[in-house]
Amino acid sequence: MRTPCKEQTNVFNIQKYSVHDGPGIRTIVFLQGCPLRCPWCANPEGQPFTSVLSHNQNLCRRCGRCVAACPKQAICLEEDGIRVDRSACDLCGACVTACRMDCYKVFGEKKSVEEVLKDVAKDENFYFRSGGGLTVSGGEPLAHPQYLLQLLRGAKEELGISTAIETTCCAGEETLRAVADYVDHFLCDIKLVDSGRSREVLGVPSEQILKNIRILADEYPQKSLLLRLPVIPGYNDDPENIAAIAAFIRSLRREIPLELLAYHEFGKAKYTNLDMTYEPEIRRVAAPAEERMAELEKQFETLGVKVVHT
Amino acid sequence: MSERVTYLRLKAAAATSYVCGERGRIVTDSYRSTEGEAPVIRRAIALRDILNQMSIVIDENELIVGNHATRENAAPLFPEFSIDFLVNELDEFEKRPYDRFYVTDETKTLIREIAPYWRGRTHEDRVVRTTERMFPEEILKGWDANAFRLNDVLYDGVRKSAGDGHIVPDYFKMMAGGIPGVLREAEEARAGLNLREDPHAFEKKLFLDAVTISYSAVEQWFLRFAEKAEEMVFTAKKENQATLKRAADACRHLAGSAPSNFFEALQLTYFLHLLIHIESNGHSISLGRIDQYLYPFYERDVRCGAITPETALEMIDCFYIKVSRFNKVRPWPETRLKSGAPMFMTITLGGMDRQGKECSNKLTELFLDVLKETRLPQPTPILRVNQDTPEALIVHAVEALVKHGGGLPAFFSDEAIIAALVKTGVPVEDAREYAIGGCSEAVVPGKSFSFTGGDCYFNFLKILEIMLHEGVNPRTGMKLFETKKLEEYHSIEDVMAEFHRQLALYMSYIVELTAITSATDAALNPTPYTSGLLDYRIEMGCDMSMGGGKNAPYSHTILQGHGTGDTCNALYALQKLVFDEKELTLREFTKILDDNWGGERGEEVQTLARRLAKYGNDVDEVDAYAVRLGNLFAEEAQQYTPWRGGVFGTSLQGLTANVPEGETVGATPDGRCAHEALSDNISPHAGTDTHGPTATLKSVSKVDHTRFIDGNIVNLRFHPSALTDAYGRFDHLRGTRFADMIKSYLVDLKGNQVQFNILSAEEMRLAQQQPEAYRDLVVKVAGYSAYFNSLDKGLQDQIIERTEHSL
Repeated sequence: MRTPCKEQTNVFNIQKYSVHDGPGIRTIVFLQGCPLRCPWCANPEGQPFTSVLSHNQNLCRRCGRCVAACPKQAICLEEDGIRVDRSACDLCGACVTACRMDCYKVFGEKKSVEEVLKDVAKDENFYFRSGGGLTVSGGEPLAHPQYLLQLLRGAKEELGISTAIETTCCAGEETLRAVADYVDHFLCDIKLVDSGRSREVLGVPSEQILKNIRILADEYPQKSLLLRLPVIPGYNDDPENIAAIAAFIRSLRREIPLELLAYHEFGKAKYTNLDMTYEPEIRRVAAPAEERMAELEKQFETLGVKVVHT
Repeated sequence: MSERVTYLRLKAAAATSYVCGERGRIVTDSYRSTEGEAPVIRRAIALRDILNQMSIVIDENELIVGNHATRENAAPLFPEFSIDFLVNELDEFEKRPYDRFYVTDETKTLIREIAPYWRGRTHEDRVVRTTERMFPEEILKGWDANAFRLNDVLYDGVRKSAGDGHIVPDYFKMMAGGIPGVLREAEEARAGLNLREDPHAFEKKLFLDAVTISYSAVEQWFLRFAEKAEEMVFTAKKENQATLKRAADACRHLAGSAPSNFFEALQLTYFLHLLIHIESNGHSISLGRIDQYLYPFYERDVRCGAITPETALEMIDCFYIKVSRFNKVRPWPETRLKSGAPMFMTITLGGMDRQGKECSNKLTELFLDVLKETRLPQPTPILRVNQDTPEALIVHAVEALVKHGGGLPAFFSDEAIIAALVKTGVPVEDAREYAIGGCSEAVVPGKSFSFTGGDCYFNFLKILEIMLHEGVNPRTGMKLFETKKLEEYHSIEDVMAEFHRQLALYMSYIVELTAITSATDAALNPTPYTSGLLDYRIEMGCDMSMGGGKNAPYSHTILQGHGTGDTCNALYALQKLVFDEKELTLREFTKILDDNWGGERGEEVQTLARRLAKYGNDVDEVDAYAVRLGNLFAEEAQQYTPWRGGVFGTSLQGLTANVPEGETVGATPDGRCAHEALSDNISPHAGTDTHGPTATLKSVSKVDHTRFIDGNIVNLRFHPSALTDAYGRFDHLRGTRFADMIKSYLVDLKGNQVQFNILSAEEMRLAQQQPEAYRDLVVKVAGYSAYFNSLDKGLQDQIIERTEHSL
């Protein structure tokens, strides 16, 4: 019997009927907070380790109710719309309640492991029928070692369902080893191999990331491992990086499949709502065409890497 | 797709709707000549006269022949059912905003000429007058005779002017014996009659004579098609000569024998189906388990090399296109409840056999494959799903669904439906043979008819609205029944108890309403031809409209409950805002609703109401109200026996009534604005199911579906990207997950049925802007699909608003 879990952490989304982050029909639990700062991140609300307020200007009809409701006077109505002074905001949620148009939303809510498991359990029929289960994503799930461990253990031991984590692998290796027993499927990003480039673009060096992937590949041969490369034109699709990724994968002790994910800009609107800058827009990054993706796939295959589509 | 199929399909999609006068003229002459005869004989003679005199129309490109009216897509007249609307709306048909019909001057003249004969003699006249005679004075004041509606809560207009439906013939019997088989059956039954000992023998003889008259006429009619096709061979294009010859041979053969090969079996199926639509004007005439009764022919022909799966597919394509050509002109108020000109013709595929063994076959797949090519709104194929249904078959159906795009096929649960039928007294072997009779009604082919009989609609949300107004219908100011004073409700349980009492009161009138339409049918519109397609009627010697006898355990009279999702949300909102959190009193709340969320606190309270948890998100506390609502409805309905015997077949489906019915209901506590559309069928209110499709299905599955033999329809909309890869091609892996979701809902959670639109909101908005470019865009509406362009704008909007699940 495990001790009842009172551990809480910030969860910013629980998404049901997810069908491409691990096998079968899955529920993805998104934990808030990430050590990386990928400029193309599709879930920027998941980057900070604390809750974050989002304001959708498009829905706003400038009634000023939120301005009046804010106890910190952090909101003002300007000519071009609502402006939130984020340094003054303490995320009390008064604006969320006051707004009639549902413009405001606080991302990230403290949730206990128990609470999350209860929600995940609701779809158990669908998991059993399809071989699916729980996928923990983020943010970076490994950034919440205790919580993650209890969540995964609960899913395995109490619900008896399959588990997966979707991770950047940016974590200490003992953290990884601690949870590995409770994970069936690892979905690991591989973005940039060169550590200098990695630090420059993602904000973290690549050594530990690559080391962790190697640990999973070499020391946990029974675990399913899928590497995923988000193809972001101009950031990481240069021949050097492609070659380096291929060389790295080939150097692993078993054949690890690679999935290529084409860049998309679905996350763009979120940046505006969070008052963040969306760098790919400034750099005019366009989604790669089908031909380009096919070409990259071919390149990898020529370099001896098995490319898969899930 | 062959050139032939392409041509026929385009011709079908482009055809304009006309009203065809021919049947009306012939039936009027016929009735004039049979005054004084027994009704069942008059009906048989009328059918004979129609079949002898109607125009025979064949397009030389067709493989399967047969016509309903003088031109493609025309609706024949049934003046014996209703004449007033035809005359009153005569100049309006072509001005309708949708479901428009053109009427030639000649037809207009004809309608005006025959009208005086029919006035006072029609089904409608009898139904209207009997209803006024049956209802007590105090009820009549809440009775809208024109709309056939009681206080906006109960509606029974459908059977006022239409014939009966929800019938699936015994096609197995017909494939074995053909037309001569029925004639023999009638002959033998007649020989067994003892006029001196059986006091009902003379009525039986009249019925059996009527069967003989009808089926003899059918034989002659087949020959007329044979002759016409033979005649055309000489003038036809060279490439059509062989197929015309084949059609002629088949018609000639079927006039005297049972079908001998796949093509003849398919032609006979079409003819039999068509004839039901010529004899009477019901809807929901369905084709049953076509992959089962045609399979022996298919298998034999493939084995001997007479056909290949490809040539069979072309025949089936042509068959679908023919079936899609039925049309029906309905009065405008009824049209609004079922916009898009549906006939509700369902084809049941797959499922288990009498022993409980999964019995899908190669034909199951072919009948699904047709969808990918033809993309027609009807007929409606559905796939029966049970524990043993191969996953590959469900994925095959999902692929057809994606390529069809317009919601076909739908998926039904063997688990829930067989259990439901058994609960009503149907032996389990027969229950396993079920087919869908219309939108979602489970019928044992050849045995039951889930009579359109009453087809009463029940608006749950209106009951609650009237309760909030202390018995007064705010739309009309009418007070029909006493209800509690608002101050007398001290908890949500008090509200539930009063709701139950009101529901029971209205329910008691359904028995009378349905008895009136059923009894009128028996008196005026026996259908000896259709009766001959059923199992027992000849043996019993009485027309199916009489009900009773061996059919009784199989019969259900449909009763639909509307607005389930909204009523559930409204009850939950009252619980939270009035009783738990005491934000405001019931009286204050009602005042805000009367102001349609205006006034000082209106907007605030609406925001609070909108933000409450909603049905469709797997929240037990809310969903509990839907469960209770379903149980109340089913329990109350089960207390009564309909006129024809059997049970009231409860169903939480709603056609397109959610739009016009929503118009009669003011703002409601769930946050809904006045006159907004109701939630459709048993689906969540459009746009409020925000936790993904599995959560929606979980919510819906909490209702006990085994209490609803006539089906609970849930609509889900997916963006096409949920099932295709980044470049728009069907994604097999996603299709498999989707299939798992369907199977989990139907088998593990025992939901009744589920259906989908795989369409993006953008595409539908584009279709609204450029209707010409989207002429063949099909969408799933309720238990049926329709061309998007043919729908009411309000309904189009409502379908666009339905939550779009994506990934």
